Amino acid sequence: MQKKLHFSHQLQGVDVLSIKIQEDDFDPGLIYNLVGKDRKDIGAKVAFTGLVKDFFELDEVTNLYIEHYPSMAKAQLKNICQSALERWQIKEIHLVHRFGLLKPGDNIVNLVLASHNRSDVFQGGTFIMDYLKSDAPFWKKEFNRKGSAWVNQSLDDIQKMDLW
Amino acid sequence: MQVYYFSWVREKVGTGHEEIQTNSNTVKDLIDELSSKGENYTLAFSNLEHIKVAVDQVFVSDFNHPIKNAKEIAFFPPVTGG
Repeated sequence: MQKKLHFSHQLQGVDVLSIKIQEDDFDPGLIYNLVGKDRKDIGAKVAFTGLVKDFFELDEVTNLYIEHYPSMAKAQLKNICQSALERWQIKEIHLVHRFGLLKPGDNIVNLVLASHNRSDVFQGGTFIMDYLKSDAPFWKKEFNRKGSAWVNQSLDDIQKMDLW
Repeated sequence: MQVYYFSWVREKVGTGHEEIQTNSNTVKDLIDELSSKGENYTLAFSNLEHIKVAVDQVFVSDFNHPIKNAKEIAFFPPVTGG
C-alpha cells in the first residue's frame, strides 16, 4: 500500500493525498495514468480538469491572473479533502491548483480520485470542487484588450453548497 | 500583527502586506482603525458585505470576532478559484 502524504498530519482512510499549488503547468493525462498505478484494489477513477476559457465576465479574454493566499490555500484544500474523506471512501486524492498569469486554453485545476466504487469518486470529486469554489482563497482577474476586471463569485457556486 | 490584503482589496489599499501595532480587540475595531489611516483604506472597506476575513488563516464570519491574540489577519473579497 502506498503512503505518500504531502502534509505532516496523516488523514485516516486515504492511501495517497497529494495537494499541490504551483505556477507551473501540469499534464492531466500523465497525472491520471499514475493514479492507482500498480494497485489491484482500485475499481473507479474520476478526473476533472478546469481550464481558462476566453469568455467569462469579459469577452475575448486574453489572460487570466490567479492570485492566492499561499498558507491558507494549502490549509483549506487539505480541510476540504478531509471533509470529503469523512463522507466517502476514497483511496487516492490528487489535487493541483495553479496560480499566476495564464491564458485561454491553459490548465487551472486538476483533480483525480480513485477508490473501490464509482459513487465515492463521483460524489467526492463534485464535493471537493464545489467547496474549492467557495472556501479556497484563490481569486481570478480577467484581462482583455479593453481592460481588466476581478471575477465575481457566482451565486450558482454559493447555492451549490446547499446541496451538501 | 501581520495584515494581508488580496485581490481588489490589495489593489485599493495599495499593498499586499503590512505589519502593524494595534490595540484593536475585534475585526471590526481593526477595520475602523485601518479605515482612519487614509482614503485608500476607507475605499477598500467601504462596503463590508464584499469583504471576507481570515484570522490566523481561518475564515471568520462575525466581524466582532476577537483578534487580541491573533498573529495574522487577511482581508479579501469572496473567493473565485477553481
